[in-house]
Amino acid sequence: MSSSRIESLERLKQEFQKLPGIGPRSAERLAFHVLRATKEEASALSDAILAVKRNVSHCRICFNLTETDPCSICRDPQRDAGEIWVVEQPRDVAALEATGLIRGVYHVLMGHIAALEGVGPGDLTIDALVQRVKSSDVREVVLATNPTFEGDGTALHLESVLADTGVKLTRPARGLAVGSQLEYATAAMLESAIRGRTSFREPSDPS
Amino acid sequence: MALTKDEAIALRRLDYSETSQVLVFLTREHGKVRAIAKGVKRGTKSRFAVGIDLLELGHVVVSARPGGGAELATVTEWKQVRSMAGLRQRLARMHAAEYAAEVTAALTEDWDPHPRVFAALVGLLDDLCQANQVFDRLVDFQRELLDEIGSLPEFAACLTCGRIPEPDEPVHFSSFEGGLLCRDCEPAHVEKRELLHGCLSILRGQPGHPTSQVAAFDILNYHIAHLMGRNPTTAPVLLATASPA
Repeated sequence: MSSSRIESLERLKQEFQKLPGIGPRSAERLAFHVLRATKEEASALSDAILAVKRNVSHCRICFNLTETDPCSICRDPQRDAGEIWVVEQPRDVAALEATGLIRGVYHVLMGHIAALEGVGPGDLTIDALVQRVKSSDVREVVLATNPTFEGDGTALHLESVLADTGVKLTRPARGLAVGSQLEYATAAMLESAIRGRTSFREPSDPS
Repeated sequence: MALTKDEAIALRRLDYSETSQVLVFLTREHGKVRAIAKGVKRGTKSRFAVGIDLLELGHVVVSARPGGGAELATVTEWKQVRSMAGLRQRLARMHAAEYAAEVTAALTEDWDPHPRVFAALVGLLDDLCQANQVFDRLVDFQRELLDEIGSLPEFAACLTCGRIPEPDEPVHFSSFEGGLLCRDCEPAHVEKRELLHGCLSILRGQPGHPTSQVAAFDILNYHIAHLMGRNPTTAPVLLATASPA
């Protein structure tokens, strides 16, 4: 071992290296950045890390990440609790919320069913969703899992377990991406777009 | 690094980083290829248009060292040819396809070409897209895969004495021995599974009743598990979802 080795710096590098997408070089760069920062800046970073671990948990109703339980969306009386958007991850909630179009509430599954990886329905929050649908006045469940093989499989499983609740089950539309070009679309995108085509102007459209 | 172009099916997909994934492909001419697809999760901003999904058929271009080796190849291009959308309409079809992917990945070696297995897998997925019962096609696939890798059990005659069992004679199967055991030879073997009535003809490649097809699937899966050293994780899920009532 080199005598010039600085233990606390090495420890910081090792901790950074545990973060996703951070290799030894990036970890070293970050560690030296922290070293150059003021004590206040370093404290702010460590406080933020501790605060997120101390204060953030999962909402007991929708399983989204929150600092208050239930979360602000589940507590919001303006939200339509009869419409539940089921998503795989908390970051999917953030993506949908960014549209500003969702008036309903969410349910985060915390993953998807992946038999190849040994992830089954029992590893997700599916039982809680079924209980939630059965015990409250839910009209519609939107199965907004990712349009991947695993996401579609999870949606099929949810369809089977929610079938006897009588609730309306829907999927977000899928097909061509806005801003893309037809010639670069895949067969699957085109197939979904063709099957799910809509009227050019809906009757209720005022424009 | 050499560029390799081939038809491929993604058998397995693992997240590597925020935007990259490691994929296991079965290719027609080059066998199983492990590759990293950098930036594949960026959606429309990536070179792969909409990502690479499991069990869809496409054309892949990978950059790899000549001869393959243990190193991960890099996916440089992917164009989807068939999405196998029919699989996603029923859970049983999806689980059957996942089972085929798992055992294919487990029983083939990297860069070891098996065009017959590739053709059998594409045929299976195409058929599953329309299938109501999945086990008859899965048994055909299991037989083809085992035959191609040289591990198809012997179902014509008893492996110990060579006698062809009489119709309706109770028979057993030994994975260790690699085939059938007649009623006279069976007591001498510890590792064995009883073959249910109607199962043997299906294992010999003949049609049969749906319930017997499940039993035949289970026997071949028992043999595959023996070869893999573990039970395929997708098998219990498939049996729970797709077995006829």
